[in-house]
Amino acid sequence: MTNPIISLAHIQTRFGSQIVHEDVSLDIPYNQIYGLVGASGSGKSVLLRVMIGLIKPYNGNVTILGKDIQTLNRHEKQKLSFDIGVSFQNGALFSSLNVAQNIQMPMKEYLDLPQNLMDELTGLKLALVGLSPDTAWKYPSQLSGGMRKRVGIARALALDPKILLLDEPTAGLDAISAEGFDTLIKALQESLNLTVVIVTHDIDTLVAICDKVAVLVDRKIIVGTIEELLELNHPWINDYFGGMRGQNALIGKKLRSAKG
Amino acid sequence: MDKTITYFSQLTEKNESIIHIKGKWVLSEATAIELLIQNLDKKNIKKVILNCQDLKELDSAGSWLIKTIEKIYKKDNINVIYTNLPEKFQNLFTRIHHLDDISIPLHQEAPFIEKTLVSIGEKTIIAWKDGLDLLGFFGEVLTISIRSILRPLKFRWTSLFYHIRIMGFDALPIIGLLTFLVGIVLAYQGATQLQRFGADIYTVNLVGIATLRELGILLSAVIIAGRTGSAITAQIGTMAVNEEIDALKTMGIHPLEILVIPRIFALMIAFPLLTFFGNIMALIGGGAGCWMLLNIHPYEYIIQLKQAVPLSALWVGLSKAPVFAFVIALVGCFEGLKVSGSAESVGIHTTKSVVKSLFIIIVLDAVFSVLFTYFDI
Repeated sequence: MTNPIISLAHIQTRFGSQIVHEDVSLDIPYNQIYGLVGASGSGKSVLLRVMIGLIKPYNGNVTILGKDIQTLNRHEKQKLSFDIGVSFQNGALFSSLNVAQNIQMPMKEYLDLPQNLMDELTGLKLALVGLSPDTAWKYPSQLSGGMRKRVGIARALALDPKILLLDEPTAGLDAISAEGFDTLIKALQESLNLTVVIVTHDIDTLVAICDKVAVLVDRKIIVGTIEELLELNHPWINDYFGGMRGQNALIGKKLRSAKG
Repeated sequence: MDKTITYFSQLTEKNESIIHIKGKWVLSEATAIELLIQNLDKKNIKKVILNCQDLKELDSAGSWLIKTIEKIYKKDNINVIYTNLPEKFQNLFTRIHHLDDISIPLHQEAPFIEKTLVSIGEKTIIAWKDGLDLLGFFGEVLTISIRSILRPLKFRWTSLFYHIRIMGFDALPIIGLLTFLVGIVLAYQGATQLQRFGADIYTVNLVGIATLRELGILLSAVIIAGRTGSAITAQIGTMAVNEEIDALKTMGIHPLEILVIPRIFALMIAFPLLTFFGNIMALIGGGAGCWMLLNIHPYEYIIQLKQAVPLSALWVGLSKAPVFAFVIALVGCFEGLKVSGSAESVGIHTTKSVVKSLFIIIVLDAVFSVLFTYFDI
């Protein structure tokens, strides 16, 4: 398992003449939590979409679980999608289906499971993301923002993927819910042996649960732990982590670890 | 060979059963495993040992199935012990194992008749309340309209002219084309019937009267309800989703004054003009039809039209236009302001807006017909 689970090599993406990523290479090893940060418009979400294959890079290769996703045929792509769970910013739940149907959608599409087992697994996924079983019959419009995100993750976990990609999981949540979410992601990663990539603006999330942080600056990527990144003395990174919010998050972490 | 062997084997000796779990316990195998564990040996067993030594792959579904085995035995008060669980599955297994009470409550559906009756009742009440709301909105719009007229300096003139352009001028091509085509159709249908009686020339009367009194206005109203009514709802609805309406309120600006009144006035000005244009285009279309099919020369057509169609027919048709315009804009704004929360709601209310305004327009048209007949116009 020494090979990286996700490997981006010399990715270049552009929309028309506008270059988003110049030469982005990133290797993510198994069972890690990676944070992906960058200024607004630096192409974080675009990079995430490149990983899933929703956007084709102009140049470069994406290798996931040892497979180059550009060379896969339709069938192989479908198989690979079992191993990748994606949760979009607002959950992207299908609004005409209830929670149970949303979670069972990928199961029904790809597996021939009996209904009672699917219901049990639905309850299981809901419990894993910290929701009570009676959420199952609610419709997305009846859920709060935080719950919708949780259901989004439950749906992403429906096929027991190896990789979980999260787009802004804590955006729009209050501090307590956001912290609960961080804990949840960490717990899920540990118990389900997931590799997690989080696109986020939330410094607290980065400090609290990410093993490494990938920073998109100047159309390139810089990867390292927060300490390593700070040593680079890059102006944007220093501003990002050196600002009030960053400092508070870092101090908070030190305090917590001192307490034990 | 027994297929069970792939996933587990059971060995029972002296009230003690050892279940040897092996291979892949993952979601893709879950159907097979689930079937097999229903047939586990349960007779004369006091104690069960689950040996997980040869477990190769495990995911949450697999862990759940192992837990299901335990539950099957626990139900009969049989002790279950786990041994040799590989280190790498420890976390996952413990996590799933400690989840209790995850079963989804049964979703009970009411019987068909009850469901239908309840739904009819609910819909009736909703329709009634909706009607009252619309009436309330109508009143509100009237008061604010009067206020706006009394203070012409504060009226949003730019907005008014902008909407007249969008709702009126930009709709000319589509209205013109469609009414022209309907004019031709009318001439064709009329001609084929009337020709049999040698009453060719009366096709002109048919086209003239039908277009000016009914079809021109009705057709324009349908097109505008679909084109402009829906656009009004979508615009205002999107603003509501964006919280723009609330932002206006916090600035002390009445949303009706800035969003609704200009749109209603604009459509009430633009729509009669559009209708008139539509009427003319339909008459031209009818003329073209008569010329092609019956060889009635345009000059002859105009002479006949002048004799057969009284000017009152035009006024009858046009008199409905401001009313229909008011209905379309009113319902459009009403539904737009009712949008709440999600983008989905914009879609729902846009549909409702078109359906409702068409419904009201056709009902009103019937009322107008009765009234005009009664007063002998």
